[in-house]
Parts: sequence; C-alpha cells; structure tokens
Amino acid sequence: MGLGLSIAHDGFAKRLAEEHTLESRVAIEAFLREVETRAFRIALMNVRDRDEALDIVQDSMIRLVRSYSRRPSEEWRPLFYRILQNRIRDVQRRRSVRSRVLSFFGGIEGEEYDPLVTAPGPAADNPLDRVLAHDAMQALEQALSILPARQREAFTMRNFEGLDVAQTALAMNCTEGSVKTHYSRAVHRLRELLREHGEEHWHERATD
Amino acid sequence: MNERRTESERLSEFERGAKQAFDASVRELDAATRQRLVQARERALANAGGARFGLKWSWSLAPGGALAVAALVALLLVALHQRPTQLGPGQFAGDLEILLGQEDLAMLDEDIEFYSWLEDQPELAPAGTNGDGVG
Repeated sequence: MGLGLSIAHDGFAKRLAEEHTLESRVAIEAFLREVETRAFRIALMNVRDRDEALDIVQDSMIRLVRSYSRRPSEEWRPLFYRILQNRIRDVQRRRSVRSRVLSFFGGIEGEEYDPLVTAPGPAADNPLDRVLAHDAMQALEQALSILPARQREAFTMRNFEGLDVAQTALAMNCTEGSVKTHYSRAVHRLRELLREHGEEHWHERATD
Repeated sequence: MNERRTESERLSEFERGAKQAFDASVRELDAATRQRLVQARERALANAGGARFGLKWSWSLAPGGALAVAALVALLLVALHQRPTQLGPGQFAGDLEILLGQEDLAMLDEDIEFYSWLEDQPELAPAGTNGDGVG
C-alpha cells in the first residue's frame, strides 16, 4: 500500500515537472520570438554582417535557454541583452585579432573596415516612406558607431529596446547612475552629430 | 525656464524619432532573414539540454570558415618560424586562442560574477516603467 502510494506520488510529481517544463518552454519560446528580430537588428548594427549577426542571436538564445530559463521570466530580457552585448563584443574582438593577424602577413595593411561598404541596402521595391525611414536609420547608425561602446549600449537598450534604468543596469552590469550618465551623454552626442548632418531633415525622415 | 522645457521637448522628440527609425528598420527585415531567425530559435530550444561546449550550427562558419581558420593557423605557425615577428609569444598565443575559441571569453566568468551581483539587486521595476524618467 505504502509502495503503491509512493509510486502514485512519483508519477504525479513527474507529470507536474513535465507540465512545468512544457509551460516554461512555451514561455521562453514566446519571449525569444518577441525579441529575435530586434536583437538581430541590434547585432547587425554592431557587426555589419548578416551571418555573424545571426550567429550572435542564436548563441545568445542558446545561452539564455541553457543557463537562465529557470530564472523568473521578468529577468529574461536584461539577461538576454547582457548576453547579446557580450557576444557582440566577442565578435568585434575576434575581428580585430583577425585583422591584426592578417596584417602580420602584410596583405591588408591600411585596409580598414568600412561599415558603409557592407551596410545592407534597401530592397528595390520599397515604397518611398520605407526608403526615407531607412535613410534616417542609416544616419543614426553612423552616428551611433562614433559613440563610445558603453554609451551605444545604454542608448540601444534604453531607447531601441525600451528597457528601464534598472533593467539596463542589470544588462550592462553597472549602477543605475552610470546608465543615466551614459544614456544622457549618448542622446546629447547623437543629437549633435545628427544636427551636423541636418537633424531637422533626419527627424522628418525618421517620423515620416 | 521656457528654453529648458523646449530643449527637453526637443530631446524627447529626438528620442521618439530614433525609436521610430529603429522600429521601422526592424519591420523592414526580409522574409529570408526572419526564416533564419525562426530556425535559430528552434535550434536554441532544441539545444536546451545539450552539452555546454557541444558543436552548434554556425551561419558564419557554415561555408567552410572553419577550414579557413585552420589553414590560417597553419600558415601562422609556418610564418612564425620563417620570419621575425612583432607579435610577442603571449600575444600570439592569445590571438590563437581567440581565433580558435568556440566559447566566448566574456562568458566564462559571466555566471559567477554576474549572478553574485544579480543576487544583491532589489526586485526589478515592472516592465515599461522608467525609473529616472530619462527617455
């Protein structure tokens, strides 16, 4: 009798665990679906290579699912963006090492990576407003590429991704005060940079 | 005072414009890229219980990039024996490690350092609230 109860209890516990796993899987899949395109766009903006950007997003997803899926779901977003930013930095570091190694052979000395050369172009059949929005984003991306990395990260997470200050601090592994400073400097510097290139025109295109 | 408010309004307008430009660029993503992202998500979920340092699909290494890296390393080793180099032995070893590494260096200490920090943090503010009103 005792043995029967124990087996029944084990079966019930196993079913509960399975249901919980399924529930978690559904929840994390929904989260990944929600962030994947935005994360890809952010990665692409930083590394300017579609395949590498896809790798970064995929690795970040794997890392989140493996290591943090049991954490409360409200922590997933800052965790995911922290992982994403780490992966972006790794790719950039690898790229600079690769370029150093290649320059060792004397082949590409002086050749510098030009983001404009590899920037994705608009699809030919895009309507005018898409082209205008694309131009605005391209101007913003160029301005962003000039910012220090921490300012760029703060702006990306706060503005593009809508993380609040606490979440951004979590994602950037710094204090909330630092987030506010980085973000504020980023906004002012971006405005200056875009004003130099005609902010009014930029703004019209961005909000069209 | 009026000028300050105007400046603040301009900043908000700029922030809104930036967000809209980014959102539009996300909407513009083509179907092929979206499909590849779906595949990436499926792989991530399928890999959930996989080995921590197991092999995984790589878009950027798919066309034979791994072979290219191996060839590059071989060339480097040969070249190091044939000509003097400005790279110190430590830097060379570090470069090789980065070139060959499948795992990210930044990730190695992430779990320990990050989680000890995370545990010390107060509860996160509810999504959508901005603690400081910036942005």
